[in-house]
Amino acid sequence: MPAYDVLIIGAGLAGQRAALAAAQTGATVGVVSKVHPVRSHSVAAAGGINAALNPEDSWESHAFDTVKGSDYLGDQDAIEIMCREAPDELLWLEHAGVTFHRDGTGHLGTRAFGGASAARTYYVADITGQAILHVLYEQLLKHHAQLDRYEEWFTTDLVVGDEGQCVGAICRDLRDGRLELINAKAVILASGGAGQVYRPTTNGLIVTGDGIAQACRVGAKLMDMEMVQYHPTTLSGNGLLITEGARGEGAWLLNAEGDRFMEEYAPNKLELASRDVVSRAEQTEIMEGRGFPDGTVALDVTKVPRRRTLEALREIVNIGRDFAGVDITREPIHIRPGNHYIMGGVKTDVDGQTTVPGLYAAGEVACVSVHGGNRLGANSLLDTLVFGRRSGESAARRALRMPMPSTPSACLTDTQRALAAILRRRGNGSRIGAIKKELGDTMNEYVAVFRDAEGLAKAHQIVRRLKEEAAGAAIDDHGSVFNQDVIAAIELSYMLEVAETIVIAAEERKESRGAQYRTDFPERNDADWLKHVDISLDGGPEPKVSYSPVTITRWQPEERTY
Amino acid sequence: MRVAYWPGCVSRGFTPELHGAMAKIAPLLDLELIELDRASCCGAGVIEEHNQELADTLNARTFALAQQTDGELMMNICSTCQGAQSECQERLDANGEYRDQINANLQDEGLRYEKGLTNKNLLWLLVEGIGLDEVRSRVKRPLSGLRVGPFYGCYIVRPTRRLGIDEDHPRDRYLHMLIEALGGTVIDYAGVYKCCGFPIITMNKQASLEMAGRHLGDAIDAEADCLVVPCPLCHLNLDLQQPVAAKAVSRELGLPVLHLPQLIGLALGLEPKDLGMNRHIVRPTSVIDWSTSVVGAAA
Amino acid sequence: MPEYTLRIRRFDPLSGEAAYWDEHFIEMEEHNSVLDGILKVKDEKDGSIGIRCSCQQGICGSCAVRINGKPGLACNTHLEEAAHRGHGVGWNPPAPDDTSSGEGLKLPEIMVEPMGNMPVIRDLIVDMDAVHWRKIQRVTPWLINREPVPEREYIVPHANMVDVTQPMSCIQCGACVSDCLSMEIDPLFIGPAALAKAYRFVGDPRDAQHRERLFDLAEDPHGIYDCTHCFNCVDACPKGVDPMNQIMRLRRIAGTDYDIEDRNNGYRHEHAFVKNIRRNGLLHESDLLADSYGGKFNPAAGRELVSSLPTGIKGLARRKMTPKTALMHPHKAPKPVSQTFDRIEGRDQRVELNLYVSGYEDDEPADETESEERR
Repeated sequence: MPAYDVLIIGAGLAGQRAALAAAQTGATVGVVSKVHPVRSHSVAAAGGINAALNPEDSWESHAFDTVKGSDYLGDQDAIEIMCREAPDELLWLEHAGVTFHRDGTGHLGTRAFGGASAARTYYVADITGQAILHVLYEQLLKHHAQLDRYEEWFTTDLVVGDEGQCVGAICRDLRDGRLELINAKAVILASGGAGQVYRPTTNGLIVTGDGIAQACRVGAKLMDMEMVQYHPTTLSGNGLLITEGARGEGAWLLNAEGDRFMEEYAPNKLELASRDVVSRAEQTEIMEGRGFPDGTVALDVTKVPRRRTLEALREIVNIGRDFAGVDITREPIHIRPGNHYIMGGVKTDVDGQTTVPGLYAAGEVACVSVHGGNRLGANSLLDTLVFGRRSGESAARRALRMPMPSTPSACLTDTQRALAAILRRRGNGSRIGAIKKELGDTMNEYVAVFRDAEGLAKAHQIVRRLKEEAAGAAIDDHGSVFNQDVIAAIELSYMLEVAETIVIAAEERKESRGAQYRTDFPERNDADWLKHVDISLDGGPEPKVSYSPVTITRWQPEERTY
Repeated sequence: MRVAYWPGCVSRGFTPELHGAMAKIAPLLDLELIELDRASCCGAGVIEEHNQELADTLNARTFALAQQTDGELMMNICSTCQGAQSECQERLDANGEYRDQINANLQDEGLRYEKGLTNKNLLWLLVEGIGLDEVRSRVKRPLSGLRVGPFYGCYIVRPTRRLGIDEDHPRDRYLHMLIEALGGTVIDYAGVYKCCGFPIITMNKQASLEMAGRHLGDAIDAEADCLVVPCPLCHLNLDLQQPVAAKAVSRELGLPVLHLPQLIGLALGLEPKDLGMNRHIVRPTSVIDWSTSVVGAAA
Repeated sequence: MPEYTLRIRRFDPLSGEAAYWDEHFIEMEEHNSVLDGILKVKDEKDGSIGIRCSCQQGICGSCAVRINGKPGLACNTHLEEAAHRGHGVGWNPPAPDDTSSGEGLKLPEIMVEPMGNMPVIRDLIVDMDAVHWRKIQRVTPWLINREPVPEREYIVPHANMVDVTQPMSCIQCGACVSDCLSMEIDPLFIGPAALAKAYRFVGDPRDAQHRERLFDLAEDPHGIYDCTHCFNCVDACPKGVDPMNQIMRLRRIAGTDYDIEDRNNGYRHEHAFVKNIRRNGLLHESDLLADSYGGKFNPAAGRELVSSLPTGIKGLARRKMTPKTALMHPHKAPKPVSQTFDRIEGRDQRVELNLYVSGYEDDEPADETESEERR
């Protein structure tokens, strides 16, 4: 049985950053990822990473923008840490080799981004996530002696010891179906968000909420699960992302009548208001009949000088051409709000520690909470890196102080039995694809930009039914080599559990804040709801709701206008 | 049609039969060749690899010389020239500032390259300029029964975009189309679009010869009578080196390899010897046998 | 909605059966991707089809396969475009064994196979660790920082960062590796993806070991001089990385800037070639051969000439090389040509245009005229 001081699940930005930090702290490290690390969905982050590095800028300004962006639901102690540590993190990346854009003098250059009072977004064309992810992987290869990589290993369960602490994980080698119990003194979840719960979504097919569900199953608390971000510019149909960088570079939003409608909704920041505000504005235009017949509005990138677009927005030029048949340098492209990110996740402290001892979480799977009700563009990369590093360091420090914990004897056979049961299923149940589609459509209809009690109740009911159906869904593949069917069945169970917590939290919060807009409670209500909605299983089979306070350090809630 | 004609180096060096055969078929196709005899080597990608400005200047000079003639366009008979020159031309045409910079190198000679030259390999000219119907009408001795394997060579089919290959210009099918227009049978085999190995002959001889040997072997297995190549460098590896290539792949080969103008010449009624096929390393026995059998049948 | 025949190459290593074609008929929009098609079949009919995929937007690099013979991403290849590939554009695969319905119209056919040059694990999934990632590891794929590491960022020119962003935009999908013709013959060739990665460091002013990297790659018999210049990687790459161009730049920097004389004749061949053209204007092959092996009197040249003796003798016999062409220089370079060599090679700095950085000027005026017209 392999054993490590620190075991990391997921190898996107948060996971790789945690691995490097833990190794540097002196721990032995294992990294498990269900896909090759460079396939992780961090690769799709386009626009950039925020840091107040310029002398004219300040971390306080960055922090205030983030607090305001979060609609005052973000915990200000965590936000302060993130914004203070951002410049050093950025420079660490630069020294590790990220090919950040330079200005005319050869210094790091920035672009403007939504909800920010200064241009503080550092970037590599519009492949910032890819560039950083690949550079981190280079570093992982460089430190290969201190790190074991389990690439294309799927985590089925977290393992909990006698004292309720996390002591490892059970993972399946996709290549040959072998199950392995990996023992660890500390486990860091870094397995990303849950975009596939929605349809369409900007997220990849692998983003199935695994870590959130796994943590919940072993009793960890989840937080802010109702806060699901709809990105203002996604392609209709397939939901592909058009980076906020486009608006940062000067693109306009136009309705079908050719009006620059953001003048109405956010007269100061216009297209660069925070994402929840822009998405709501677009959705309102569409619902009130000023959108295009395909349920969209237009993003006009022709406002950006063509040469600049071709250099700094290469990827969306390709996306427009390949996926919508539109040359964005010459004509507007139809877009609409689409599922993009979950602010909520596994509740952690500022060192990534969850409510389960020995279990840490960082990145989109976690909720620290720095994003509160709404995440600012280019703050997610920062979140993954800062809290990935902090989790790695703190997990390693914990591990170095303790002996290797023992693992319960039966856990491996339990998992084997559960997998065998899935493999025994035949082709007579509902199809996994059909259940997933119904789930995604349901969430996108009732738990989206605008929500109300009736719709949420309906969604809840459907999710419950789908959970039952999923337990007997058809399996076509009964083999052991790269059996993606059995993985899809497990992922489906993760997605349904996550969906249910999202719906419950959205039902619970009876006000409008950030991404949660209740048409039946259209106002923000600080008196009753300036608090986090926490969800946990608490020993029983049904998720239970509790509350925790929002940490406020120096910025009292104010009215939020852009 | 009058064309500025760039024969390339190898057609006048190691494969003089290529230049000769071109000279023989040109009048039969009403092609007037204005030979660019002051022009220099295209660099074959090697000079570009050494110094991009140098390669671009040498080719800009060739283009400028072509533009000084009254030819309708520039024609080459070497895939490598086509590819190397297209690459330089892409840069020259893409950027006016850079073009001026390169033209400054030509100033002393009073030359200047103006953007937008048309430079076509004989193969392209046949299909797009002369037209396959016209070619067909001039065929005196259809290549019926001759099983011909097309071997394009890399430089004339890749990269697709730079070479203007698209649905309207399926240039990666032209050899197929031409062989059929000349009455021959196209042989499909794995090597049609692969590399002859010539570029690494001095660096990794074994790999280079294995490439040549494998493609020749595949064509033989597909029962080809001969290969046709629009590139004399491919010819070097496929014909000149064929005996050594045979050793490299440990099998007997012996497959004649024809230059494109030689194949056309055969169909236009010229004899293998007139077309210089006796200069090949691999005796074109199957082709000679075919030509005598056709003559015999006609008599 | 158009209909297509989707033929998927299937292989299950545990079945004991050989690989086979699995045929499905799909009705989908022209602009749907090949991956959409495969996922539809997987979702609705057969969950056991193996294919790696995630982002569906051409950035994660998971889903590279061969489609009608051409390597690329399944997610950014439209069904209609893929179907056309069998009819004259790009690589043309041999026609598959005809096992289709036989009656009525034959639907446009899309054949999806696993990538080449890598072992197949299952269906469309290949073992990238055994080939691709091993080669990436071969090139020391991390930045070796130039000292001293500055307190803040390294100051580097804007164009330089754009330049290395080209190889950096590689998504490690393996499409170029799949169809590398050098690797097909010489599996040890480091290959296009890894060498592009190497350029990413050699082109990065922040890296301290340009010479060491170049020396290593030039000396390796399967290194930069083992590329046969076939352009397959250039066409295969879905991200415009242009791996072959990066390899040529590595050669240029190794041979010209660092004067690295490798044991593979790469340096000598390049310099012999250039010298040859400077002198003759046209290529003079027999000189080139001798010079490539270190000049007529170099022992290596002797060995090489002896080993290629059959070729040489036959060449003489068939009057390919006449004694005259073998010994004398029939052609002298026109004076302007040799002057050009002197001038350009005498420059302190090489002049280079990278279209990835500069773009195409064509785009600009077209833009203006079009918007003029629209107004």
